[in-house]
Amino acid sequence: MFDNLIAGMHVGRILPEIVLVGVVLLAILTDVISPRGKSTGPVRLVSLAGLIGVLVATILKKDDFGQAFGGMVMIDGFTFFFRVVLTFITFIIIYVSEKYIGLAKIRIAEYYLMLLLALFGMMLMVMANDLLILFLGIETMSICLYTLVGMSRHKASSNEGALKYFLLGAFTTGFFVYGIALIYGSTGSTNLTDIMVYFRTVNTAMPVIAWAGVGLILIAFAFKTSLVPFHWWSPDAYEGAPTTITAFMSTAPKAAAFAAFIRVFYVGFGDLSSGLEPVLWWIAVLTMTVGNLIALRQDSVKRMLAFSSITHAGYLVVALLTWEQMGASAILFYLVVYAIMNIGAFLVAIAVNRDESDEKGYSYEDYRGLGFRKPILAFAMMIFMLSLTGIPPTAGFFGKYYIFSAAVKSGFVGLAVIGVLNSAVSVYYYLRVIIMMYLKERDEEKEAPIFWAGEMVSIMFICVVLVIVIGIKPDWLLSIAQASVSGLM
Amino acid sequence: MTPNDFLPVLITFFVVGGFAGITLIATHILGPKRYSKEKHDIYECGLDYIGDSRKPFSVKFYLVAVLFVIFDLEVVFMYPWAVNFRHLGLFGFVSMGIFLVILTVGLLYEWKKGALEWE
Amino acid sequence: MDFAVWIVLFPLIGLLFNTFFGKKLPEKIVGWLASLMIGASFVVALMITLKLAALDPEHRVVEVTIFRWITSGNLTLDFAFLIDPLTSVMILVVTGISFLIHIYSIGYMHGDSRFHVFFVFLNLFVFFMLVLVLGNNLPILFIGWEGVGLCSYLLIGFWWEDQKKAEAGMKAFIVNRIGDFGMLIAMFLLFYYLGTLKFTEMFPAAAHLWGHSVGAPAITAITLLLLLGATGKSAQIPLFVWLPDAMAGPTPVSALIHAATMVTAGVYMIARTATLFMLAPTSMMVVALIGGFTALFAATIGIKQMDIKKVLAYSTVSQLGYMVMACGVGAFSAGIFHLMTHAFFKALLFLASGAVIHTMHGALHKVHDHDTDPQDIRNMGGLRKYIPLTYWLFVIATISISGLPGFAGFFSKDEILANAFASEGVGYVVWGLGLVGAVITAFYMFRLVYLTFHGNYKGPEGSAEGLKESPPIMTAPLVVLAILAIIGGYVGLPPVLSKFHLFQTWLKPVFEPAYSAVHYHPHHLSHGLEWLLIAVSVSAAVIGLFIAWLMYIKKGLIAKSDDEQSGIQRLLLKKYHVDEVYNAVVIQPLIDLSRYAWKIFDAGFIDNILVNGTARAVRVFGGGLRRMQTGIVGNYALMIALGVILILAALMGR
Repeated sequence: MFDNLIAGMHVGRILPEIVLVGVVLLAILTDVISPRGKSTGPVRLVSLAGLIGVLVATILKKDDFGQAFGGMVMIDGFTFFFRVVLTFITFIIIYVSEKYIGLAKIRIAEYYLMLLLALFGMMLMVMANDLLILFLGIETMSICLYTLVGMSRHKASSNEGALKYFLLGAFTTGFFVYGIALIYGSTGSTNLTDIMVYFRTVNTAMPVIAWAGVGLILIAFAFKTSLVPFHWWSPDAYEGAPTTITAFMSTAPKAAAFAAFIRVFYVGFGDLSSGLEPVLWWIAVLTMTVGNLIALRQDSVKRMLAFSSITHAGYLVVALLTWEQMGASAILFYLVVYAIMNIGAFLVAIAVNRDESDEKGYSYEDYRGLGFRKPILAFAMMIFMLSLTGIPPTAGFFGKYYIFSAAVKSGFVGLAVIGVLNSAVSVYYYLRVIIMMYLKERDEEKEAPIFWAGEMVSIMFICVVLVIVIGIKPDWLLSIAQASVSGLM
Repeated sequence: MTPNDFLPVLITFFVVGGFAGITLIATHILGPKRYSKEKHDIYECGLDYIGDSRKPFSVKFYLVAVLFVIFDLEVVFMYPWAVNFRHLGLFGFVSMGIFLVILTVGLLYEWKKGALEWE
Repeated sequence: MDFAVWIVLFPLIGLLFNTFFGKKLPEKIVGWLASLMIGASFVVALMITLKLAALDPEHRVVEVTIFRWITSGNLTLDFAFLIDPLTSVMILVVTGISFLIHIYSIGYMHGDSRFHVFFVFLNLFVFFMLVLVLGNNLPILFIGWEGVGLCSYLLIGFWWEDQKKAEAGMKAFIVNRIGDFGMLIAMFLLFYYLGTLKFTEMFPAAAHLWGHSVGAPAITAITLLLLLGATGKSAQIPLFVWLPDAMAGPTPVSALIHAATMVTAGVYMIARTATLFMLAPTSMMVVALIGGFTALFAATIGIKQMDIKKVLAYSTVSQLGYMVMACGVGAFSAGIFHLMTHAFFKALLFLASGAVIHTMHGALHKVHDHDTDPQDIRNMGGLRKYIPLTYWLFVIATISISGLPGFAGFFSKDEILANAFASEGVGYVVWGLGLVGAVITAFYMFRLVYLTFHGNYKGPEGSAEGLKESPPIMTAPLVVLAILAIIGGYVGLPPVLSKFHLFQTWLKPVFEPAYSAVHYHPHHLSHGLEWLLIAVSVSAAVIGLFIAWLMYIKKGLIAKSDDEQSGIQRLLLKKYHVDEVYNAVVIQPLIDLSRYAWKIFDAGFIDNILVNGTARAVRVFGGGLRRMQTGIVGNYALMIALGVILILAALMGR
């Protein structure tokens, strides 16, 4: 009896996650046996080696696709894509952090442990084929993020950000669970495939409570991807968090949340697209515009990047709204590109920032004349800013290009117009950094030393190269993205 | 299920809400009010209060409480497992083994981090 | 024609070399290397043109694929070059003029601390400009389009020490983004309707789709959006405001980017997509009117400017207006013809004015005067005596731009006016605008010559001894340009003089499909009428010249200072207050809106309305530090709850 059960579970398909849990346990043990206060170095090495192991396991299993655990999780090209992307991002963040966490006075092994556990949560999210597994994944990830945001305990902004994020996160978790309950109540299942089948058969007479469930789940996703009007937590959390964590949060969890968003809404609620359209339309417009307008007024580069990440989420919703393979692959493409340029930009911000303990750090003023002081660093920042603006030939241009052309192709011309207009507005605040770097005179008395770490420099270099390479030859990445989503629809 | 099935729930909702609301409003309107310093005290019994009632507790209380919950749940898992031990066979044994390894690593971590020391 | 790829590789090699080694090498090597790379590109351009000429006229379309660029769904694009007669003209002009200006810059930028950076930017610019004109599809064109914009922005702000110059760069960039937004949307729409963005596939598809419904809303919208892009890049109404400010950059940059090449990209784009524009008569009318009005409007502002480069900047805007106008009346080859001759004489004007500024700067420097503006014509006068070579070169260019017979500008401008006159619809209107513009052009150009070179020297005392001719490395390119500004027009003689219009014949295969798509036949004027039109436009130029002579030589008027101006003069001096109006109508509201949004979503709303409200409530319960945090989080939660209600209402109320 149980032999059958084991065979039907396909435990081997979640080998990467199993490896990851093993790595977490190993990392905890490493922390425990290392001398007090000196454990971060060994833990970091164990984590990095373990993540390579996770990658190897992922690649080993790249042909073993299908459901596992009785349909609770789905291992397909989509899962594979995000496993690789998320593991890479986590690897990079862990790789660059060691020197920074010393600077930010958070040199504790939990920093790495939480990142690994968050990765585990995200892995669950991207493969969840069942709302309950998805819930587990989201909660695992979120609890780790709450802690990571509040890690700089001596900084008021960090505490404040973490508390806000936690309270509001807990608040929305309620909506999510209630949404699952309503969906279960109306469809009789929490499995996405069953839900799809149900909606397909009763499409004409959808019960109101099913709509309420769909709406509540939409709201939970909107919160996790910080869409207006559920974005309130993100600027404070992003600003308060240690900057490496900000870079992490604006890339990996966002990617994971969008991945789950796509799977739930394309697979589970795929037949409700016409009903969801107006709501998502407005969310997209508001998210793009509000994030932009507020980013215009920021005096801190970190906070500007936080608000602009809201805007970028808005662009992604535009693509989501197309309900087509082209839109979904544009999202995947954009998420990768955004991760590259955003991590790069945050690394430069860390390098330039004057004083990590300063609550009002990351000022534009720090960039004054950087182009002449540190030409290579400034050049890297310029590339990232141009890419975030979406100016060719950088990767960011193609990210936007694919999204808006997918939108136009699906008939959302108005949305594309608003999106392009918004990206025109965003020129202003991204350009401000470039202006500061190249067109303002140096003020040598006020200059703070640049914070250098070899790991940061190498990652920055790779990011610059990737931004340019993808900007010149984007199609390989897009074809990977297309292949990844092809199994979904 | 149709929305009509929820009609009784809705009625109950309004009845409950209405009753609470009306009671509150009624006492607010009907009750006489005489304010004085004593009335705003925490104890109206004539004793002067000392300090604030919202004193922070030591975080250790919470820590122990959380630890208790975790190991309590562990036992909840283990009872049914122990009852069906033979029936579950190797599969059950390995599963519970993994579960216990994870918990043990957690326990080690707590121990080492000093969560179990009161002082 | 695979060797064509070298035309973009040479500038790339130059810029890479100078990026890595330029800092340590002497100026001579850096400058000459950059120049020779462009020279090599020019040779390649010549070879391409000769090869093209050897083919039959119908087969003069060659595509050179470099690599497979994008494959996304049903969109497949190669990174490929399209080589046809139009491209050949553009690459010859771009590489030729760039080569001369590079050489000139070796002298002009001598001694600058960031000499090599300047040449890196300049090479980068040429690279992107070539990508722009060579691309065989709209996305490649757009990459070049953005690339030249970026270079222009970097070069305008090259002397970043000056806050004003930095702002000018910023303005150029932002105004251009508005235009680019039009381009992007147009591109998406074209892909939506036609399923391709490759020029050679796009035009037949468009002709097929809209050929029977000429003027359909879709194609009109697309072409108007393209036009928005063109008005940004080519500085037309309403987006011309950035170009005069762009003069803050070094003068060779003004000559190369803001006169001869980049700003003509809009005209090139319209000509390239001629088929689309021909399918939308309304758009054509708008193009013609925008061109005509810009030609006149910018010319009038040019009358009162005191900065030698500002006069030339408005004159550039005005001349670009003529080119756009030519496209609007369907005379695309006339527009490109004027683009070419304008590149010759306007580059000459700018470089000569650069030589004047160089001279003035040197003279002022000698007497340690750093307050007098070396670009203000009120400080000049009488320079003819000191720098005769520059004077004569400047005069040649002035004659050419004014349209006096025999010089390059005459032929192209006359062709545009004749075509405007012959066309239907708004033809007479734009012809009138162009004609009045021509009078004014002659007037302000000769005013500039008289005030700068004639009369008495008005600079600070003692500085006159310091005035001396610029070095040969600067004047030699000027001489070449001057020769071109004289003879450049003879490739396109008007029908009354010659049966064979070399330039038009060369471009004919490019624009033929555009005309045939809508069965359009350009009108031909009788010889008598044509002579009459020539006489009219020549007399227009002469009238302008005469008025200028009357005022500034005969009466010896000198330019008044700003405060003495009144009425219409003041309006012209202040450029019709366009900057102020834009600031009040567009920029300020945007700032206000952002402040408003910030208030609602970030601070004000929450602080003022909710927090203070709840703060009172919180105070009742006591509690210290928590007040602020729980207060705000509570309100965040409230806003979230409102969002939840809205969304659920929208979904459940369906």
